Parts: sequence; structure tokens; C-alpha cells
Amino acid sequence: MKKVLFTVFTIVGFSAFGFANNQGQACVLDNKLKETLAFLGSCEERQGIATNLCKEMGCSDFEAYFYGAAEWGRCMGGN
Amino acid sequence: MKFVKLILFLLCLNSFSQIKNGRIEYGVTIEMIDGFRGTILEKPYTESMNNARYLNFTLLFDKDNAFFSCDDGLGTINDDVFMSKVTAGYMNEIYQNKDFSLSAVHPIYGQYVLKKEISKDWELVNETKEIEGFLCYKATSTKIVINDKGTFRFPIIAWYCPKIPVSFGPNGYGNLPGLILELQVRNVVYGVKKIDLNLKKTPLLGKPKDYTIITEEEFDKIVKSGKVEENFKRGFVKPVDKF
Repeated sequence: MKKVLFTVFTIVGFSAFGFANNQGQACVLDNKLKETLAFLGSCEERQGIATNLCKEMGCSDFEAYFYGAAEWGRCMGGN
Repeated sequence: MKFVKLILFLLCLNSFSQIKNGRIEYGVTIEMIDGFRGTILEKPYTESMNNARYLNFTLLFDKDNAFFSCDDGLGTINDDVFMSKVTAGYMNEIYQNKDFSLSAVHPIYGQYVLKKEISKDWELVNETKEIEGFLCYKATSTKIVINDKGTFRFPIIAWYCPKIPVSFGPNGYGNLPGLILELQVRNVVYGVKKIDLNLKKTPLLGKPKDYTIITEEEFDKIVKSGKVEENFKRGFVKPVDKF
């Protein structure tokens, strides 16, 4: 009986620990994902600003596209 | 007899003065656009201006055709000068005759050759200046840019040299009664650096890639369609085509 209880408690204990650990990691990953998405969003925003500004100053679509893309790349590179 | 001698003399003189082909080197300078000062684009535009000094363009021509290309400066990485080329309005190698030019579009838009009619809307102005020892005359025109923010008109100023009677110039411009030695399109100036005429070896002008030929209107549609975005999202692969 003791052996059975020991086995059950061990399994439940390990499962609980594993679940909590996963939850913690998921939480960290979730936060990282949110940060990354926010970062990507801000880079896309900068891309949009650069593209629109270029067009407002008379750039062709071709030129504006590449200035926007360059701004996005600069932002992704942390600049 | 004297008359025959005179005719022969004039024929000889004419054959010497005829320009059969040539190789012209151009550099480019880019001025800041006032509207970019103090904005997100000031820094990248300044970089484009600074890197423009590393760009060398070559125009090879014979009587009927021309080939305009860009040689990146030695020791420069393509990424450094890429935006300078975009800003200078250069997309790819240009094959030009008297009526139209052909140039492969940037690979991100697909495998197409863009056909452009050579502008004929020049106004010849009675102003001269000397460039590299050649007397040049001024001609003006207008560049029209249409995007979703409006229609913009920018001045074009060309200095052409009637002593070199070929109707070509930098970046696909031409159709003037002489070679264009200096060309200003808005804030971008192509200026001649070296002139070699009547080369010993006839220049090889080549021909454009065997892609589908599209008009400017069709190209504009492709650019506006967002196909670029799709290509970009799939992952930008370094183009095989020279840019």
C-alpha cells in the first residue's frame, strides 16, 4: 500500500512540478512574444512613416518603397 | 580641279570630325531635400548622398545605340551604395536607341524588361557653359511623379554638346542634338568625368535580358499591386541580376 501511495504521490509531484515549470516558461515566452510583436509593430510603423514622408516629398513609389524598407531594416537592427 | 580638291578636303575633314562611338564616364551628386531635414529620413538620405561619390556610371555608344551602366566603387559593399542608386533614379543597365530604352526592372518586381519612350519634350534654351572643354547648350524639361499623395513636377536641366552629335545621355535620357554631358533631375546631378571618343575597339553594347517587355504603365501597376510585399515576405534572395 505504501509503495502504491509513494508511486502515486511521486507521479503527481513530478507532474505538478513539470506543469508549473512549463507555465512559467510559457509566461516568459508569452512576454517575449509580446515584446517582439510590439517591436515588429514599431518597426512597421517607422516603415510606414518613412514611406509616406518620402511620397509626400515627391518620391516615386519605387523610391519610397525602398526608403521604407531601409527604415524597417534599420529598426530591426536596433538603430 | 580646285573644286574637286576642295570636295576631297571637305570629305576628309568630315570623316575626321565624325564621331563613330565613345565611352563616357559620369559621376553623380545628390543634394538634400529640404523636407527631409529633421525627419526620420534625414540620416538615411544623408548616407545616400555621401555614398553617391562611390558610384561611377559608364555610357558606351555608337551612332545608333547606347548602353548605360553603373560600376560600384572599388571596395564598396553593394548595400552601401544601393540606396544611392535608388535615389539617383538608376534601376538597372539601360539599353537605348533613338526612340526608346530597355532596362530590366529590379528583380523584386519579377523578370521584366521595362520599355520607356525617350522624352521628346525638351525646351532648348539659349544658354551655354563649357564642360570638359566642350561648349554645351542648355535644355529643360519636367519630370512628373504621380503617387498616392499627389502629382509632383520637378525640373530637368540637361547640358548637351552639339560637337558630339549623338542623341544619348545618362540614365536613359537623350533626344537632344548632342550628347548630354550634365543632367540634373530635381536634386540629382549626373556630371561627366571622362570622355573617350572614337575608340580603337568598337564598344560591345550587348542586349537586354530576354524577359517579358512591359510599359511604364504596366510597371507602375506592378509596383502599386503590392507584389513587392509578397516577394519580400517570401524572403529576399540576393538578386542574380546586377543592380
